[in-house]
Amino acid sequence: MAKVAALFTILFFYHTASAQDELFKVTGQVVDPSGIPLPGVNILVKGTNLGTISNADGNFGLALPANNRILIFSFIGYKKQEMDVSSASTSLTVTMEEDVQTLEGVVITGYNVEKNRTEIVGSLDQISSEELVVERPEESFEKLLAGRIAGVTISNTGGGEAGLPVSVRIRGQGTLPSLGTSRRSSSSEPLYILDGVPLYDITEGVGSNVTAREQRLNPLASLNPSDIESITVLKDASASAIYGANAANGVILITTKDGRTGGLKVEARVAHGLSEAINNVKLLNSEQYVELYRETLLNSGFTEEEAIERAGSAEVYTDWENITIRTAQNTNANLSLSGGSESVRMRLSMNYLDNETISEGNSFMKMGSRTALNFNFSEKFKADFNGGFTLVRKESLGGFFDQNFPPNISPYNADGSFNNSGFFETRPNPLATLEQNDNNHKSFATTNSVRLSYKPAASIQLRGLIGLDYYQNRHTIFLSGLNASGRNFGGRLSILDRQNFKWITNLTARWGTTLRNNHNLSALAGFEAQEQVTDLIRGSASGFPYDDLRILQVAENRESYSDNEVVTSISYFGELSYDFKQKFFISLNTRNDASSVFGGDVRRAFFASAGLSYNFHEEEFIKNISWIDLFKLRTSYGSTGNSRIGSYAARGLYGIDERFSYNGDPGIYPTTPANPDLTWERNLKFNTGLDIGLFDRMGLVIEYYRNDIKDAIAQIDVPYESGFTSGDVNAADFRNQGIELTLSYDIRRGENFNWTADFNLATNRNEITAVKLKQFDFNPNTGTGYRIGEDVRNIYGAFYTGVDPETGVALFLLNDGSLDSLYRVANDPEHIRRIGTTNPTLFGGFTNTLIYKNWQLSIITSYSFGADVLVSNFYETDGRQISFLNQSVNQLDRWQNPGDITNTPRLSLENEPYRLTNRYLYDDDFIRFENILLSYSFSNQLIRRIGLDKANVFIQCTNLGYIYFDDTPKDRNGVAEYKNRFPESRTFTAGITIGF
Amino acid sequence: MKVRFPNILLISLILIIASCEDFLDQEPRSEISKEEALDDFLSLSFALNGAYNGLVLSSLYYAEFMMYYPDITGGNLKIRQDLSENAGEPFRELYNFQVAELSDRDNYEEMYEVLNSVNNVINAVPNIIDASQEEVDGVLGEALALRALIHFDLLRVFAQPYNYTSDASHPGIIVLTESPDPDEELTRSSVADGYNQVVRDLEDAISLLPNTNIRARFNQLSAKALLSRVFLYMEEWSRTASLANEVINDSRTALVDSSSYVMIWDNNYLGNEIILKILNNSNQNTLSDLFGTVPGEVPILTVTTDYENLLTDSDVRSRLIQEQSYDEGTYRITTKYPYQNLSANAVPVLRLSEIYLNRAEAYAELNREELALADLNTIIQRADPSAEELILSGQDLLNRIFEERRKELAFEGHLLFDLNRNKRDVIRSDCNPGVINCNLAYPDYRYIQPFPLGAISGNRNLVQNEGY
Repeated sequence: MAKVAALFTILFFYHTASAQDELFKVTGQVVDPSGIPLPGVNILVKGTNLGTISNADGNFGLALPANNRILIFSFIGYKKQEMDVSSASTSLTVTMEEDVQTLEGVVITGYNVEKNRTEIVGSLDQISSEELVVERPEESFEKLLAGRIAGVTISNTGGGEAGLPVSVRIRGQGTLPSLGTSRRSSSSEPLYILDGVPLYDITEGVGSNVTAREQRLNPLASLNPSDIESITVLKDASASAIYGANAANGVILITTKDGRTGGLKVEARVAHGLSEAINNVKLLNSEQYVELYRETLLNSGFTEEEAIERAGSAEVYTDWENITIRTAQNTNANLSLSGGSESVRMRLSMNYLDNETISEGNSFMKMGSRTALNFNFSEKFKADFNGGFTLVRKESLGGFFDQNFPPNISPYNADGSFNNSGFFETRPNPLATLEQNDNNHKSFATTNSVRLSYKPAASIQLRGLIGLDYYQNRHTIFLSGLNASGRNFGGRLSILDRQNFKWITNLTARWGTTLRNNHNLSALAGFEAQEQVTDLIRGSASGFPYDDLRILQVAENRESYSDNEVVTSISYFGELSYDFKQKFFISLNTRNDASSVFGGDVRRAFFASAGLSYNFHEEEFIKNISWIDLFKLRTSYGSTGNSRIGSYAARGLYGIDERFSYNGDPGIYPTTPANPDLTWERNLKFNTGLDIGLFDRMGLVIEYYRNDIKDAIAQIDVPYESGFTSGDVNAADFRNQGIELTLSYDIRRGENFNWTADFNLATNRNEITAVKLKQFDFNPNTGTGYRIGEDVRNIYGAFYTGVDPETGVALFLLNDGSLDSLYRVANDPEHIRRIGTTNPTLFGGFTNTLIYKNWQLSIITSYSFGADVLVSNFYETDGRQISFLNQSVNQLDRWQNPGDITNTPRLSLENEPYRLTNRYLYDDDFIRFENILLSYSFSNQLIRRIGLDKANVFIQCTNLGYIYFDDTPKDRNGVAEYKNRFPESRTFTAGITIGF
Repeated sequence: MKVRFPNILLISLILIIASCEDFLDQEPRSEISKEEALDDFLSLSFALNGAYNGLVLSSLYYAEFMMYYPDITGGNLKIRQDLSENAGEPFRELYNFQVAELSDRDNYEEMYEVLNSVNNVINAVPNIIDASQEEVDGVLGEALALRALIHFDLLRVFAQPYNYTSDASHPGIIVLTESPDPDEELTRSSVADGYNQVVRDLEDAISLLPNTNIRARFNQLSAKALLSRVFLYMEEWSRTASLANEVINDSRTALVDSSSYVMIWDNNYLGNEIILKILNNSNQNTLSDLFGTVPGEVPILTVTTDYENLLTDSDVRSRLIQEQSYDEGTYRITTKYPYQNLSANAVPVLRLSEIYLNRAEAYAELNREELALADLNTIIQRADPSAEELILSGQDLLNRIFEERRKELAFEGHLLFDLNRNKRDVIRSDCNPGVINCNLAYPDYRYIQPFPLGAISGNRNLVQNEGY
């Protein structure tokens, strides 16, 4: 009882105290440099969380505490302004200056805290909706980031196929690559947080055998890029350690658009485009194929007659790739509505995207909607809702995995039916599979968050968040019994269903104060709990009596499987920031994570970071130099972790399965080894950087980073006596280090003509510093291995030196300098050597934006150097597989007679199969023209007459092409052609945007 | 600082949620953790079932390997000549006594996999509180007998026999009584230590096991039968004989008569002659595939004339050899593992006739030749009632016992081990063409298998067998 009384007393004093503070009222208007009112500008009393937002007409009103008369005006895209209003008249006009260098302005940091650029001590980069170029016909926003942010690489692992996961690396490879295809290692992807909700990482963990044949789609594609307000990439420990156990690979914060005050605004955009394949592999025509096939047979001991008979005639010529490739159409339509009052704002958007890919039977379509609702109940209490859902339909037939068939056979019989005999008795006719098979996905995704904010006092803000993320995908595969793909099973149907449900809740408290006008202190403390449940189910059946009745219960043999996984975590975190006169900054943060992923005593992990920065430009000696606008030094150090290794990794597990039963009684059997010593990976990040602004038109950021990954987890060979061949262990320590440079420059700034160039560059050096179990663990099937002092993404294999001019056999270099014709000898651990790496060492992008009167041109390029790519070997099998696979035109250069100098061995059916050699390795150095956009905005007088606020038309070319630096002759295939199985495409789009 | 109401609310909320530590205890849903799998009697018995099934879970152990390896290397079987490169690969290296690379033939890992599942059961027994002492003893006894069987098999396949050195101090295997950690690199112990562990486990098992009449699991009778074989390998003759006595005198077991002999090879193993069989519920890896008893399927392994010529026409065992014609040719196959429509063949591990021959050999070595001859004649005349009673002594008697062992126990996984412990040469007259090492002169490192490459690279303390 006494406690309750004390509480009331305290509350009473608090209210009387704060009532006395509110004395001084100020009103005013915020405008942009051309005098147009700016709605949505954040206005804060310095050193407090007391503030407001300007309304549709740019007007605001605010009551100030007696002791503080300094207001801070901030808005994305504009420079932050501080204004002492104590002497001002009660009605102010504040003109915001446009922020051209992106070195100043407001950025979103961890847990949705907005900060001014000059206050940042960590390493982060933010890209706004205007810079994203959302007109691009890409289905997922990560693709828009290619070349835009220093140190971030985006690789399209699926080639030209839309909707597949995109691989994003921030500052290099942050996890040990698994030593085998099915083996486990932790996720390499960054943590994505959408309006406070962590998104589903579909790549994490090992695949369950329940969904073994599932093609995993990219859940992030459900977000419409046009709904994004800003994307922030947190790179170093100071920026990301507050996300703790999942922040090792960096964090990407996505903030979606909120409602704006004012009357109803409508914006609509419609675009349509065409795509064509680029860089497809050049294959042999029928004459060439028959010639090479005959030669192969003759070299393999067949007689002339046998060879002629087996190779067939060259009368028929089917260009298999050409008949399944098309000019693809794409349509993208967006509609958004927004409006609201001081107390309620809302935004509603709808999106439709239909991207055919250049392969018949392969397409990606999505429809979605997103809503933002913002309530201001009072000065103190606010609530925000952001949510949306998306439906996806993807067709996955025609994936370029069965296209290079011999060219001298026809897809059709004489009567026009599909040719399903002879060659196509055992291999599916691609045209028949396109028509007769099914391979499609239907998915539904929704991410929603409700955020509540309460300010009991000027200096305190409490925030709560409840978020839900749901992803469901059903993948249906039907192999028809009418063609060879399903003939042996009498047709086979598999239905794979994946559901991922996640909830998160967090509570944060912020407090800030200014002491003696110079010392600013602020703190953040928070608590977070989350749960993720993944459910998998598969039904499959074979033996279909009717080919067109594709439901499980009609089939003869049916099987069903299911699996389920739960991950929970509870976290506490805090941040403490201090600055002296906006000159010197300190930021400390910490996080304690407890997760169900690890069992036993290592369930908890503690992460922390510290950062310092100094704004030299605030010092008198630099302030006096007029051409230096900004000169800031930052440095930080701290730890983050990676718990995304799939569940139950540390437990010893028993499987329960019918096949373990004995004599009719149930049986259980060990399936996963226990490793009680397995501990969290730690990623220790050091970062130091220099931010420079010069001549009011140039911004430069130079950073050095060094990330030390300790106790990286991988599944490796273990002593067989444990009863297992492989197990999860903390296998190695390694390091990523490099330099990043971002330069933005206003080349021309004028009345009619503006030209801005943004350039970024990053280097990365990856090096293993310690191997925990064995000196060199190497997988001879994948070519991966961990060796001290070398790159984790090195490819190890046999060193191909070319062809013996006398005999025509392939020659490999052994470690004693001698040559051997046998790959299996050269690929022994004793002889293998590093043949390349898949890590680029130098990469970045170059973006130019030119504005001339009503015209705007933006050109985005990206580049990457130092990586290699190991390409598929089946285009060049030297005769081994020529009987059923058409070969690359490069095979025309084969060795034929003694004395021939060539790189392609003598053709023979008996040639040894091999893949891990530098023969199939190409330099993956390129410059890529990501996007070129030309738009024309109609002048205001013109469009106002027809009742519009804005209107523009645009034409655009996406992925115009690559420049590669290999010396492949024009009529041969090189890295451009071999790199992707599914050829990439070049897309031309035209569209119109209107707003009213 | 002033404490304010919402802060209190916040703090209490944190405390409430944080107190739910259970929230972080997430058990796997499709598998169960090792602790949970072994914390009550029912789970423990399921784990024991899993261990039995583990013996036949893959072709690398009892489902196939243990049944053909000693017979193709010893000369009872050969590889069908026109078998394709791929299909023949697992057998050729063994047959040819040629290890090109120490490849990934992971019998070793497979055997340790089962051993660990057995050890998990044994080590969990003290924690079981929801069953009677008798029930727990039964499970423990079966598990100990299984552990003995696996250690014994590892010793036979990967180590030279007990009598290779006078005190059996030569390298044996890694003996395990508990599951090692993933990074624990253990060393081999001597053959003597290995056999001591096997004997200890079997003696414990005999004292714990009930006197049941089940043939698909270990009971007291089958543990004694196995121990008689172990003592035979150790040349502990009198202990071999006394254990064999106990088994043979047991009323639950008896030799079937000559006319029923072929019928016991039906999968049901009719009659009381089978002492221990391992059931295989899989529809793959069946012995009938291997030996060609699946209708229309060509055999992989065929019977040699070396073996066939040992049998007279009146010998009932010759009826288990059949000539079959296929498109590919005519082959002699063994019908010991007839085709089973719905399941794999059960695997015979211990049979009473072996116990007679164990005792015959022990008596012969103990110079009690009448008793030895009595047992030998029992087996000979059971197979061929028209055969004359033999009277032999000394080495002739031992030779004849060896020959009878080969005839009686062919295709059941004995021959190479018996050759090796009797210090006999491998002589394969009916040998696959092109094979260099048809014969081996005793002693030779190739009488035993090398440790696979992965085992050596995974455990740096594992010393490879000499010669490899």
